[in-house]
Amino acid sequence: MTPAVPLALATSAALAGCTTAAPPVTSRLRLPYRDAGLSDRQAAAHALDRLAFGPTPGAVDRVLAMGLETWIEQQIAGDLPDPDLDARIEALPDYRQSLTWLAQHYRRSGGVSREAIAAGYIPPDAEKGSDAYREGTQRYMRERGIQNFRELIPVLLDSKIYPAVYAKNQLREVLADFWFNHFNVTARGGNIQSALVYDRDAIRPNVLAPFRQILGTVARHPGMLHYLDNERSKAAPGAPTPLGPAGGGGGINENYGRELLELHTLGVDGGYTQADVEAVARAFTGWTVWPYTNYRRSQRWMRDLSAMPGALQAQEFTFRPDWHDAGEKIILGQRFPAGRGMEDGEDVLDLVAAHPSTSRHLARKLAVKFVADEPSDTIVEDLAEAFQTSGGDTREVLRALVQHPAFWEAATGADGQPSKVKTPFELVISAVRATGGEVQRTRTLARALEEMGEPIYHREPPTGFPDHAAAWINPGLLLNRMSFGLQLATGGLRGVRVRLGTLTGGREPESAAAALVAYGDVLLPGRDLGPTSDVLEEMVLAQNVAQRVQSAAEQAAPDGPGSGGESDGFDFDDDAPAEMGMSSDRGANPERAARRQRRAEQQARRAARDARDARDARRNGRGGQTRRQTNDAMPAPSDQVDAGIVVGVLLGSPAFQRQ
Amino acid sequence: MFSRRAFLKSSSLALAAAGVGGVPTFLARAAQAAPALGPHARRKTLVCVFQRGAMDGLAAIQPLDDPFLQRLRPRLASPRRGDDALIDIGQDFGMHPALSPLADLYREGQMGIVHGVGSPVVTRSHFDAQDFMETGMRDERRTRSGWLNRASGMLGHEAPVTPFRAVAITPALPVALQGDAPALAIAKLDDFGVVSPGMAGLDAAGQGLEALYAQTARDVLGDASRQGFEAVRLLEDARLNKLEPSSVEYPRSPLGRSLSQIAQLVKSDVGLEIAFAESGGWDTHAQQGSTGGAFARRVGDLAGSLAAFWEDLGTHRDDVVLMTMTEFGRTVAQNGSGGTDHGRGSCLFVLGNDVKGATVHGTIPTLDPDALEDGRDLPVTTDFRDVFAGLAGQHLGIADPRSLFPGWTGDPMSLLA
Repeated sequence: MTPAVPLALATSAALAGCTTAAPPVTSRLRLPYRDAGLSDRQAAAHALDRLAFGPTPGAVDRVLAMGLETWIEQQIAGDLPDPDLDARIEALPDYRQSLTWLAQHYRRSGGVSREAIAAGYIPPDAEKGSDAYREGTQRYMRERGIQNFRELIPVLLDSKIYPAVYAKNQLREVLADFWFNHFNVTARGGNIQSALVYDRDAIRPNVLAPFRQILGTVARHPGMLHYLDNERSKAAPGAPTPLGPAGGGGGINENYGRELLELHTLGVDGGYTQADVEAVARAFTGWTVWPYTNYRRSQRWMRDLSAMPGALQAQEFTFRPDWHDAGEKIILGQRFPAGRGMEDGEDVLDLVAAHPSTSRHLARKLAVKFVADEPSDTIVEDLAEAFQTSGGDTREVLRALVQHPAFWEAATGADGQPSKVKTPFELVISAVRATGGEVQRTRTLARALEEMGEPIYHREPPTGFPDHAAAWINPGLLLNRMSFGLQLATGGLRGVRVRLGTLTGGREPESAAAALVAYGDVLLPGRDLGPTSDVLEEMVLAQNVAQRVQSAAEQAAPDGPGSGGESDGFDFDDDAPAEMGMSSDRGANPERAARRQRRAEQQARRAARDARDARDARRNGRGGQTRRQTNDAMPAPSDQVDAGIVVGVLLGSPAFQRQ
Repeated sequence: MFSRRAFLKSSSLALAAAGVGGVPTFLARAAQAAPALGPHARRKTLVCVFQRGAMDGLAAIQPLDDPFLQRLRPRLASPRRGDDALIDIGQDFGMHPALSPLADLYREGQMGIVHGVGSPVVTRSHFDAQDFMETGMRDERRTRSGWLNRASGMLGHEAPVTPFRAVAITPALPVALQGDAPALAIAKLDDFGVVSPGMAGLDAAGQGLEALYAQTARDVLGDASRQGFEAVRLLEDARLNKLEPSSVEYPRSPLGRSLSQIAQLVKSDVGLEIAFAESGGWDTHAQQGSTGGAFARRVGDLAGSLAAFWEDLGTHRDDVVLMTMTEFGRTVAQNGSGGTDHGRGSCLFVLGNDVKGATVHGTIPTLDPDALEDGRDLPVTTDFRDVFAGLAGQHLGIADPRSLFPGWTGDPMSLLA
C-alpha cells in the first residue's frame, strides 16, 4: 500500500518542521539557555532535539533566523498549516473510517470463511484448507470489499511515522507519542483497527488539550474500554442499578479502575487504597462498547437500550444503566451518593484530574520525558505547580518547561553530553530526519524499531514503553542501534531513501576529514565532535575501505543474517498472544539459508565490483576532487559506500544516541 | 576475511584507542578469552522464566477435592473425568491438562512444584509486584538492583567472567538483571552484532564504532558497548566452534524461541550461569477458559517450551536448574467476565535432575472464603525469596544466600537433593 501522494513533497522545507512564512508571533517566552552556557545555535539544536524529533538539514539555521522564542511559541501553539502532510495522511486508505466500518471491512479470515459458507460461496463439502475453501473465501471478501485485517497495519504505521518525520508541528508529534504511551493500549490480539481509531480520535486531537479533556476522551474510547476490560464491568448480581437490582452473570472488573488511579492520574504512591480501586471500578460500571462486531447482539442492544431511561450511545461508546452499580461509594474520601448513573464516572474523572497527586505524577512524567531520567525535585515541583494552577493546561506546563533552567541545563547534563538517551522511536525518526530521508515504506522502520525493543502500537502492559536509558540501552540493543544507523546510511533499509549528496549541498567533501566536519555538522549540529572526529578520521584515513572490501569479498562471501533479510514484513502474528511478530527461525529453514547465501554472494560480487570501480576512479584522478551531484541522482555506489560508512558511524556514535 | 582480532592487534585504530587512555582491558581480555573456554569451564546454570501478567496458579495446579473450587469458579475449573481431565499428580492435586508435556518429567522426579508462593508485600499492581519480585528490595529505589544481578556478583567460584555469565533472551534487560554486574540482553542470537546486509566495509564501520565507544565515559552507553563488542567476539568464536541449531522442536512462540537460544548458549560453553526468559499474556481478566481457551493456550505454550528445553539440554541437564516465577496469583472466584482479577498466591515450577521432584511443596488452605486472604485470594504461604534464595544458593553455590535479599529474615528453602 504505497502512498498516493508523490514523495517529491519531502522538500527540505517540509522536513524542517518550521516555516519562515508563518505569521510572526510576539514572544512572551524568556528562555534561560545562556545561563546554562549554551550558544544560540546550541540552544536551537537542543530545542529541536527535545521539542521535535531532531533537526533536519539546515533546520537550526532556519530556527535561528526566525528566532528561537518564535519557533517554540509556534510549536506550543501547534497550529502551523501543513497541507503536504495533511494530503499525505488523507491519502491513507480508509484512515478516516469509523471503528465499526473498519471492523467490518478489515477482518480475520476465520470469521469471514464462516460467513462465506453461510452465503454459499464455499461448497458445504469443501474442507478447510482446500482450494475451493480458499477461493470461496477470497471471492466473498472481494465482492464484499473485505480485506484481511493485516492490510490495515501499514496504514497504522504510516499514520504515526509520516507525521513524526515530516510534520511542521513537531511538538504535536512528540506529545502524540508521549500521550499514547501514557494512556497505552495495544494493537496486539486483533486490535489494529481500534488502536488506529484510538490514536486518531482520542490521543492526537488532544495532545495540547487540558488534561481533563484527554482523560475523559480516553475513558470513553472503545480502545481503552476494551483494553482495560471496563467494557465487561457490570454491577454485581443483586447490586442496585438505576433500574432496579442487577441481574445475574455480572460482576465488576477492576482493571480500568486500578490503572486509572495508578497510571493515568494519581500515580502508584498517589494515596489511594484497594477500597478506592473497587469503588472507582463500581463508578465506571456500565461504561461499555457497542457490540459493533456482532450484528445480532447490536440488534438486541438497540431494542433493549431504546426502552431504557438514562442509556446513552455516542459512536461506539455506550452507557448501560442496567449494568451500572448505583450504590453509594466513597472514593478518595469523597462520598458519591446512591442512585446516580453515568455522572458517577464523570465525577471520578473530575476528582482525579484535579488531584494534587495527579499534578505531581504528570509533572514527573513530563520532566522525565523532556529533561532527564531522574529529574530534580525542583523541576518536578515547578511543573506540578504549573499543572495545578493552570488546571492541567498542557501548553502552560510546556511554557514553564522551556523557561526553566533545568530544561536547558539538560543539553550538557552528563559529562557535557545531553542528559537523555533517545528512545528507539526518537533514534529512528531523528536519523531519518537528519539524513533528509524519504520514507516510502514505513514497515521497514517499524521492523527496525521492533529490533531495538520498541514495537510501536504493540506494547502490551498498560505502563506503556519505558522512558529511561537503562530500559533501552544494553549490549544487544545498542548493537542493533548501531546496525540501524549503518543500514540507513548505506541504503540497506528498503523503502527508505537517503541522499547523502544533498546533506552537503550536493558537493562531495574534498577529503575524509572534510567529510567528517561536513556530515558531523549536519547530523549533530551544535555538538562538540572533537573526540568523535579524531577517531573517525583515523578510521577513514587508516583504512582504504574499498580495498579491504575487495579482499574480503574475494576471500569469503559475507555470512550473516541481515536485518533487512528476506522477510520484509512487520508481520504481527496475532495468534500468538505474546508474539513480537518477528519472522522467526530464519536460520532453521534450509531454503531460506540457501537464498540468503546466494544473495550474500551476489552482494559480495557487487561490493567487489564497486570497490574496483572506486579504485579505478581514483587512479583516473576523480577521487578527492569536488564534484557536483544533482539532487536526483544517487551518488555513485563507490562513493556511497565511503560516505555511507562515515554517516552510518556518526548515526551509531554515542553522541547521536543522546539528545 | 579481515579478522577483527588481527586488526585490533595491528592497526592504527588500536593505537588510537590506546592514545586516549591505554588499551582497554576488555580488548585485551577479549583477545585471550576464547582459549579459557571449553569443557573444563563448564558451569552451573540457573534459568529463570518470568510469566508476566500473573499466572492463575489455581488453574494450573488445582486442588482435587475442594468443593469451593467448583462453586467459586464454575467456568474455570477443569473436569475431573474425560479426555481433557485434570492430571492427577497425587497429594490431592490435579495438573491442568494443557500442562501434560510436563507430567512425565514430574512423575519421574525431575520437576517439583511450590504452591501458595508469592510476595509478602501486598500489592495488586503488576508493575509494583514485578518490580519487587525482580529487585527483592523495597525502599531503596535509587540504589536498587535486580536480585539475579546481585546473584551474579556472588557466584561461588573463581571461573573467569565472560559477557555471557548473565543473559536475558529478551528485547530489553529485565529489572532482575539490572545492576552493577555485567548482564546481556539479546533478542536474537542470530542477529547479534553490528550487521548490515551486504554492506561493504562493515568491519571498518564496526571497528570505528568500537573505537568511538571505547573512549566514552563509563556511562550507560560506554558500559553497554564494551560488553557488547566483547560478547560479539566470543559468540563469533563459539559459532565457529560448536554453536549449532538444535534439532528439538520447540513451540513457535517467544518463550519457545528464547529457551531454544538459552539451550544453545548452555551447550556452547560460553560461560552462561544465569539465564532469563519471559512469557506474556497471563493477565486473564476475561474469558480465561477452562480446558481450552486463553489460559490453556498460555499454559500449553509454557509446558511445551519447558519440555522441549529439557529434552534439548541432553547431557547438560545435570548442570541446569530452571524455575518459573510470576508476580502474583489471581482471585479464587471468577469475575463477571469469565476471568480472574489480581490476587495473591500462585505456584511455580522447578526443573532439575537434583530437584526434590514429584512433589508439591508448600501449602494452600481450603478455598472457603473464610480461609482466604481478604476473603478472595489464595494466601501467600511461601515467600518467593525463600525459594529464590534456596535455589540460587544450592545450585549456584552462593555461600550466603541470605544476603541476596536485604531485609529478608526467612529461611532458604531446600528444593535440591
